Amino acid sequence: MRRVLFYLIPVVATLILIQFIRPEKNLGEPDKGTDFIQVSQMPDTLAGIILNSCYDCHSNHTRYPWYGSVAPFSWILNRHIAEGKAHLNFSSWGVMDKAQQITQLDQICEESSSGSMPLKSYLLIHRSSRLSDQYIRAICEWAESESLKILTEK
Amino acid sequence: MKKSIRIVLIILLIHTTLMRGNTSPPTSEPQADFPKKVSEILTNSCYDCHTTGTKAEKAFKAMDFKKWGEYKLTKKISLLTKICEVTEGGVMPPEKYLKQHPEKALSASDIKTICNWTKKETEKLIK
Repeated sequence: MRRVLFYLIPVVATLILIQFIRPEKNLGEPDKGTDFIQVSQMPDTLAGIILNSCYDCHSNHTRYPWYGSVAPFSWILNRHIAEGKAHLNFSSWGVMDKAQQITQLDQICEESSSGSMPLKSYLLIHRSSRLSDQYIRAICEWAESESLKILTEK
Repeated sequence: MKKSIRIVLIILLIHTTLMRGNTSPPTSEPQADFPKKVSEILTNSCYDCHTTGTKAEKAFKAMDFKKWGEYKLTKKISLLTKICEVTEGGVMPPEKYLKQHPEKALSASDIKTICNWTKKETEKLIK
């Protein structure tokens, strides 16, 4: 018993202590006219797919799971979100220039087609966020037409 | 020497213009009319992997300088943006590759040349 306590106490103490290191939650103010889905005007079904599969890490608005406040999970989530937003933040779509938007649209199709996105670790928990082949086709077709639209508009 | 390169490039250019839609295998030279300095840098540091026929299938499937002319306008813009991004960010050429081929490393001025070109080219394409 003593031996068990000898190991258990430090472990529990550490788990408690690390709870005090709390990364700031990714819950930004509502986007004022710069949100991807608002700016781009896509079909509702597509908006739903992107919202459900991409926005947790690629926007200022994460839907946190229950363990989202529990260290060390909160740290892992925080890192994924920070990395995701560094590559692409849908909340600031409206402030990107045309070249960036066209590039991102191409990347959105590439990343989802190749299966790189959504992340495997994310899909493990968010099973409904998996993109079916049909969804991916819809994303790519729309992305292509949208980028042509951006290219030709004044 | 310079003259002969230029002649080869001109011939290639005419060739690609005339042979559009031809299914014959691509010639060994990259089929794009990049500025000379840019072309030199890319040839030295990127073409080993980013051209069809090399062993780096993943690399040339992502971007193939030999097929540059075949890419859609939007794809070109995307690739140009990426080219500047990955070279500036030090992601490309990959570290592993540079360990074996240190002479392929990009200098700061190379990167500047590349990014100036990608930006100018992108502007041209978007206009």
